[in-house]
Amino acid sequence: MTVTVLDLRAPAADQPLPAGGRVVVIDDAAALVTHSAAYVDLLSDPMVAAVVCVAVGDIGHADPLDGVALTVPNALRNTTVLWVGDQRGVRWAPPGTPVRDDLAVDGLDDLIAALRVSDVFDEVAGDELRPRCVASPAVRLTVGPADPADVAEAGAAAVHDLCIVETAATRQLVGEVGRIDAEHDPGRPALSGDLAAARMDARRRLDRVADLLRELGEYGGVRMFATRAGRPSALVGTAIVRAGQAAENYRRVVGEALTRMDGHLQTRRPSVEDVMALGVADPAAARHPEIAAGLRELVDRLLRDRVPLPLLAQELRAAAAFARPQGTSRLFERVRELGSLSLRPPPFRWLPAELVLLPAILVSCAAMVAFTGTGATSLGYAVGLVLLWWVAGWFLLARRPAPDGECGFGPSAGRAAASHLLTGLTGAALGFGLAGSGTDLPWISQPAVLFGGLAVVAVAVGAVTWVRAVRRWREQVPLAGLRTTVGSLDEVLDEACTREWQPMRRRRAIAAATEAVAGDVEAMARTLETAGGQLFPPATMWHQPGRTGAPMVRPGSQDLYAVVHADLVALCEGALRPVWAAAGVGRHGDTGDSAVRLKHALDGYAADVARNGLMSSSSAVGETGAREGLAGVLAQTSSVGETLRIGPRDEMTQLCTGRQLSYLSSATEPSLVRFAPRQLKRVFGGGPRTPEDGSVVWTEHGEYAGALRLVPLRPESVRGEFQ
Amino acid sequence: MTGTTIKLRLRDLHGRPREVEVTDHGPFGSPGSALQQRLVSTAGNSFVVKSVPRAAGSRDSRLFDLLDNEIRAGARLGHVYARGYPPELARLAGYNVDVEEPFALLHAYAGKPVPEMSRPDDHRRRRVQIGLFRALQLTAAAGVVHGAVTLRSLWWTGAGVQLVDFESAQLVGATRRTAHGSGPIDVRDDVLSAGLVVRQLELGESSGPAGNGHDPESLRILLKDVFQASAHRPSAEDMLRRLQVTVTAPPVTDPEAGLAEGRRIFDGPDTPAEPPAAAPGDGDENGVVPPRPAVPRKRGVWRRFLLPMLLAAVTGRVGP
Repeated sequence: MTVTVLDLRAPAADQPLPAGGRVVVIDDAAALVTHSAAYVDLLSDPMVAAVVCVAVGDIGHADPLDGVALTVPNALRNTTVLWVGDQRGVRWAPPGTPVRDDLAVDGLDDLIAALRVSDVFDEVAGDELRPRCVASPAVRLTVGPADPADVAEAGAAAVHDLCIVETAATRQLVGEVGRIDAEHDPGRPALSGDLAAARMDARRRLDRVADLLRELGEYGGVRMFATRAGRPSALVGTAIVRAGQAAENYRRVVGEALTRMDGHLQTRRPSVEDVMALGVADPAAARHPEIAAGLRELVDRLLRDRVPLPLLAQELRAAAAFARPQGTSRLFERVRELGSLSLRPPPFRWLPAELVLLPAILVSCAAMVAFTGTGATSLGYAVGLVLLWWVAGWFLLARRPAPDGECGFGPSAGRAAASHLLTGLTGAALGFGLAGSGTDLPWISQPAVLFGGLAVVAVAVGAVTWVRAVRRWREQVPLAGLRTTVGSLDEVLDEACTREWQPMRRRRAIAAATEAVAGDVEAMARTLETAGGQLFPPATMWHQPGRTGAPMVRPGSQDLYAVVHADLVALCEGALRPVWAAAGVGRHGDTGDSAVRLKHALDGYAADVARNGLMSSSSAVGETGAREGLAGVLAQTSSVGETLRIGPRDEMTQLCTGRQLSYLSSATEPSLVRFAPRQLKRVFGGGPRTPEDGSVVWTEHGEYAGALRLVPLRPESVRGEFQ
Repeated sequence: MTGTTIKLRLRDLHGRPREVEVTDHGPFGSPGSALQQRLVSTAGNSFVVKSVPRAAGSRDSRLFDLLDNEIRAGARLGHVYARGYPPELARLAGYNVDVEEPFALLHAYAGKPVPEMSRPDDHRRRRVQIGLFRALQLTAAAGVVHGAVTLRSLWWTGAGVQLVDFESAQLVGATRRTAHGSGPIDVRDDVLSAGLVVRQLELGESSGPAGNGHDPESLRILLKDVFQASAHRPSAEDMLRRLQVTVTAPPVTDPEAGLAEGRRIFDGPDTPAEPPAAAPGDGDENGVVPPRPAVPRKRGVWRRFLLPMLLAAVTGRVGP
């Protein structure tokens, strides 16, 4: 509730309408009785809460020798009446000698300025002073409101800094916006259906091939006499082909999934259900309240970091562009570049064993005949050895893996005959020739022993050479490459699911909210730029330069800048508040709404500052630090502390002449009201610079710091209306 | 001026003189135009009159060129899309350049400029992109290059966009003169401008230099090679395919198809049908048969082959 000043000295046409609440009436001391009816009307108005009457001047035609200074109408007998006998006043410390200060200026304006502070008014009009209803005021103001020109300059500077972009956008918000509420995203892809089956099948078949290859490469892995289902050599070829087919199937399913995902992310076609039909999880629901809270925190932080509104809008727009789902085209391209996947077993060597096997066959068969003679028994063993080599070779050749199983006995018979049998017969013939040539060769009388030994050697050599051949062949199977390809498909699918698909709704919600806020901020910037040029027109400020008399400490435009900037930021935050509320439920209003809200808030703020001053503006919702900083600057002045510690009998400017001091009571202790803006209290903090009795009135509204002393008039100096 | 009725003498797209009485509704604002514009109506249909006022024309003669471009491009589009004019393009209704203040009469644009579109969400942004490249596909098919594709030359109709303000338009094949030199106008020139528009839609007005590789992934994929030289730049059809839109050929009409027969007669070999031989009884009452018209000599072969060969032989001998 503000304080209304009603000057009954002015012509009636200039009178402000009584607004109710607190009213300060300025009247001519000689006309108080004449205005009795006006006082009756005023005091009987239920809208008027309290009245302080300031009677200015001398009583006029009264005889000064009768000791009466003022005639008070009955209507004011319960009202505080301040008698200003002289507007300039005298410097006086009761009960000392008054001193006329030639430099003193009009003290009445200072008094009225102090009374306009509602907390000071309440103190003056309060119950404590009312019984001593007529008093002579003394006033001392040390801190006053800023010059309106300085306020206007600070406002223009703050608006300029909020609306003019001098640096390029750095996209600093891209990462932070993208991570909003990301901690709740599923970290791993949840797959099912075709995708999970295809992935599992590819992996399982690759593992199966690896197992078969490992088994086949072991000694005994050939399982010469096992059934087809138990022989790795019969299974590995088919397994290799099917592993390739499974990998290709996996690639196709992944490609289809990526295509559907991209279609939905870009054009919303096909539907989510169609994408999910391939086995990806339902995208997590967006948590709009968390997203709105996270985004609001970022925006508020940047606003308080004094980032201009257009720059903030640019940063938000860029962040929105990065936050929205980007599609899976790039990932699909990776899948497409893999090409068609397939796997076929490499051809097995024509002769599984190394060439060293043939000399071994040759030598062993030759030795069998040469060392045992050419008898029927020896030849029988030699033939047996040749057959052993042949059959063993045939079996091994037949067990060579092929794409559809094994090479088989039929296709291998010729090769076995051409290699093993022919070599064995050649060796036997060579041994026969050696035995018949009369060469002195060692003679082994037990051919069975030699046969047994050579048979063991044949089996051992055959096994070793087979295993070595299998291992060489195994290394040619491109299993590792296919496994790497399948792994890259896994990576692509996982990335598509975890980065694009599963957080799709969250990312869309973030992008929509961010873009909506960017639009609002842009609109607000335009509004502020348009309205801000005349934010604080000096002509509208209640306090005009020269209205108050005494020199006071006043904040400069530099000191005011931080306050205005903080207030404007707070107004912007306030205008965005409904936007956050809407974003919290996933809705976005019209772009112009925030600008309209900001316009209204700016109008209210400017009017409030014009009415109450910047320090005490009730619209001052900005961070308290700015005002405390300003208060700290003001508090640096020593006169502020002195004023707040002033006593009732210290020297002040008493608003009367030296002759009129005789009307003042010397028997009654003067009342003293010390006051200062509340922001100063936080700076002084109840320290030694404030009076011990804590009697300072810390005003909520008002920009003055000072003291007001009320010295009651002697009872005989005040006459009633009918006396 | 507002509310007054004006009589406009103009020519329609086929050059036929017309006289239309229109009601003036005051100035009209299209942010992408440098000409004076007024909104008029007649018979319940709204039109935009683009004109060059006398004073403005005397100050800046380039305004006449802008109006000429608008009329030339509008007429070309009107002829090419005579069977069904696409809503994605501004439509010329008539013009008159033989007056002191020349003007063009266009059907009123639909909707409002794209920069004034509120809350361009994903759906609307996509509609704008598709509409923009569809419009460029249509202009390219008509052999017109808009020359000044920006957000300000696009109007949001609520369902798509309309490309307006063909004041910088040129016909394909004309020569472009810039500060960096001259070169033939290419239909893909507009695609580069459209790429910038797409970036602005995504990233805002101050989206920074294009093609720096720091854009969002979806944007980089969409605008791949758009900022390269014309030869490597995708066409409007390519861009539509990237936007996963089914591309159909525009229903164009060859505006010069009606002249084909005349040209064929003019350029082709002079082989008129042999006149029928005189039949008995064709003569007059004296039995005199009228002379057959003289058959012109076949000059086509001479024109086409012999003369160039002779010239080539002469220049080959005379030359170094």
